Amino acid sequence: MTLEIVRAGMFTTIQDLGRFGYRRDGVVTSGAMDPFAWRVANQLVGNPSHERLEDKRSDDKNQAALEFFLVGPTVAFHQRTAIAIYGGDWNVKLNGKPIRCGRPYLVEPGQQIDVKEATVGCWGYMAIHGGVQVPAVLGSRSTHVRSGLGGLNGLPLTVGDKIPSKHPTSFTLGWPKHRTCFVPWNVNVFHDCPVPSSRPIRFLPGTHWNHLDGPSQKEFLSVEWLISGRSDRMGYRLEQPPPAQPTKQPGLRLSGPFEMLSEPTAIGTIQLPPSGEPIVLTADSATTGGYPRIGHVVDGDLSRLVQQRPGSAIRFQAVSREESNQLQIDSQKQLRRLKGMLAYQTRRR
Amino acid sequence: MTKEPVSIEPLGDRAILLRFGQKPDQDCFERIRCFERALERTGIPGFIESAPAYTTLAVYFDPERVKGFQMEQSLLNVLQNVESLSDAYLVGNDLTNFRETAVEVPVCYDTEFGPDLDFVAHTHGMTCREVVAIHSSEVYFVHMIGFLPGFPYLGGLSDRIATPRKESPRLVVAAGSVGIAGNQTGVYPIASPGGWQIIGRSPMQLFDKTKNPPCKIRAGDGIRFVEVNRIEFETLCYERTDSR
Repeated sequence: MTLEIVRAGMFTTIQDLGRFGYRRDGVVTSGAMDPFAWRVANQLVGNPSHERLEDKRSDDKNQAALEFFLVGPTVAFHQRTAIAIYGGDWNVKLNGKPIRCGRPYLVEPGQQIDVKEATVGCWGYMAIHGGVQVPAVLGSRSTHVRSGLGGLNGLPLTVGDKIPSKHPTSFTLGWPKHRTCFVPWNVNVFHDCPVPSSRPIRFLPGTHWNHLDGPSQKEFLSVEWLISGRSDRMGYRLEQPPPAQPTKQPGLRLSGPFEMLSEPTAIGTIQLPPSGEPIVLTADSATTGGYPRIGHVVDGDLSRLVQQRPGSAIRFQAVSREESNQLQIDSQKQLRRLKGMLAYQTRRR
Repeated sequence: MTKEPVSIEPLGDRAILLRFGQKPDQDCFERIRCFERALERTGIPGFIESAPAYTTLAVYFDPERVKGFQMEQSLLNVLQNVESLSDAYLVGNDLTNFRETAVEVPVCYDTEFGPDLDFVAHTHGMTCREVVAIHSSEVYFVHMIGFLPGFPYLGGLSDRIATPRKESPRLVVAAGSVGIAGNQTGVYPIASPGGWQIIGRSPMQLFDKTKNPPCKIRAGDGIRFVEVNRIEFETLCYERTDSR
C-alpha cells in the first residue's frame, strides 16, 4: 500500500483511458474526462501511454491515475514514488511547500501531496509512477460509479482509502540525491494544454442537424452557451443566459415532429433533448440514446470543452469533415511532439 | 427481395454509424449480425469495437491508427462482400429460432416489487393477474443492449398491456426491476433512476462484471418471463449470493 487519501476532494476517482469492447453489453467507456491531460501526466512520471488503444486490454500497460474535479485530494504516501499533476493549473503543496503542475516530483514515505483548488480548468490528474494497482474490471481500472465498476469497489475515493501502487523501479531509485524535482521546466499549462480559451468549440454537424429549424441552427451557432452546474461525467449540459425578450421560449426547436429509435452514441455527441437545451456527451455517457444528434464536438476540442468550468460561456463553430480530420491530425502531432520531448527530458536527468 | 441500401455516416471523429433500414425487423437484425461477423473476421487495423442498436451499427476505431475515411472505405468493402452472399448465408441462421432457445427470466410480480402493476391493470381495465398472465406468456426478442450495462431493449410486448412511461421518473429503481414503457418491456440490471412502469422484480443477476461476456442476455436472444412466488424469489436470491 503506498497511497492513502487524507482529504477526498471532489469526485476523486481512479481513471485510465477507458473500458473498451463492451459497448454492445451496455457498458459505458468511462476513462479520463480529459484524455490529453491524462496522457501528459502519465508521460511525466515515465508511465507508458498507449499509442494503441487495443493494447490496453493487457493489464500491465493499463496504468491508472487519480482524477479530480475543481478541488483535489490530499494524499499521503507510504512508499517512495514519483508523481505529476496535470490538467489545468492547480494550487498544490508537497509537505506544505508549493509545487508546480506539469513537472515530475519525487515523494518520500511520510510526505503528503495536497491538491487544493484549480486555478485554470477543472479536471486534474495525479499520475503516479507505475500507476495505481487496483484490480482491472473488464479490462480497465476506470471507475464507473453508476454500475460500480473499476476503481476501489466502484466508488469515488474517500478519506482513509488505501491504494496500492508499484514498487520502486529504476525511475525512482535512480532519482538524483536530495532533489524532489530534477527538471528545471514544466509543461506549460497555458500553451501545451488546450485549456480554456475564447476560441469557439468546433463541431461536426450530426445526422439530425437538418431537423433543426432555420432560426435554431442560426441560434446554436451564434449564441453564447453556458455550461450548466448540473453537468457531470455523463454529459455537459448547455444553457442559455436568461432571455433578453422574455416572450421567447429558450432552447432550440426541431422543424417538425420527430421520432427515432435508440441509436448508438459516441463521446462528444451533442444531443438535443425535448427541453431544447443541448447536452454534450462525455466519458460516462450511456452507450445509446434516443434524442436527435445535432452534432459531434471534434476530437481535438473535446479536452478544451471539458476543461471549461460550470458557469463559463462557450461558442460553437461548424466545421467540415476535412477540417475536423485535419484538426485531429494536428492534435495527434502535438501530443506526439510533447511525448517525444518528455521522453527525452526524463531520460536525460 | 430487394434490400434497402445501407447508409454510412460519421458519428464524430472516432466512430462510424451504419444504418441498415428504418424498421427494426428480423431482416434488418440479421443483416447487422452478418455484417458484424464479417467485420470481426476481416480484422481491420485500428478497429476497437462495434455496437448494434435497433437498425444501426456503430463501429468505433482508434484515430491514431486509422483515419476516418480509410475506415469508411474498409467498411464499404466488407459491406459489399457480405451483402453479395448474405442471402445464402442467412439460410439456417440460428436466429430464427430465438423462440426455442429463449432464456427464462424468473419474475416475482408481488405488489411490493411491482408498485405500478395496479396502475397498468387499471389503465387497461384488467386485473393484475391478467396483466401478469399476458406479460409472462410472450417470448420477447432482444433487439439491443444499451442505456445501462446489460439493459435489454425487448420487442414483442402485447398492445393489451402497453403503458406510457411514468410522468416523473423514480430516483431509484431497484436492480432486477421489470418494467413497461410504451410498447417496450425490459429489466433493470442495476439500480438506476428510471421512468418505466415497474410491475415486478427478477432475482436473476443479468450483469456480472466477473464474467466475460458480463451479460447473460445479448442482442439476438429470446427472453421468456416466468412467474415465481415470493418464496421462490427469496430462494433464488439466496442461491445467487450463496454461489459467490
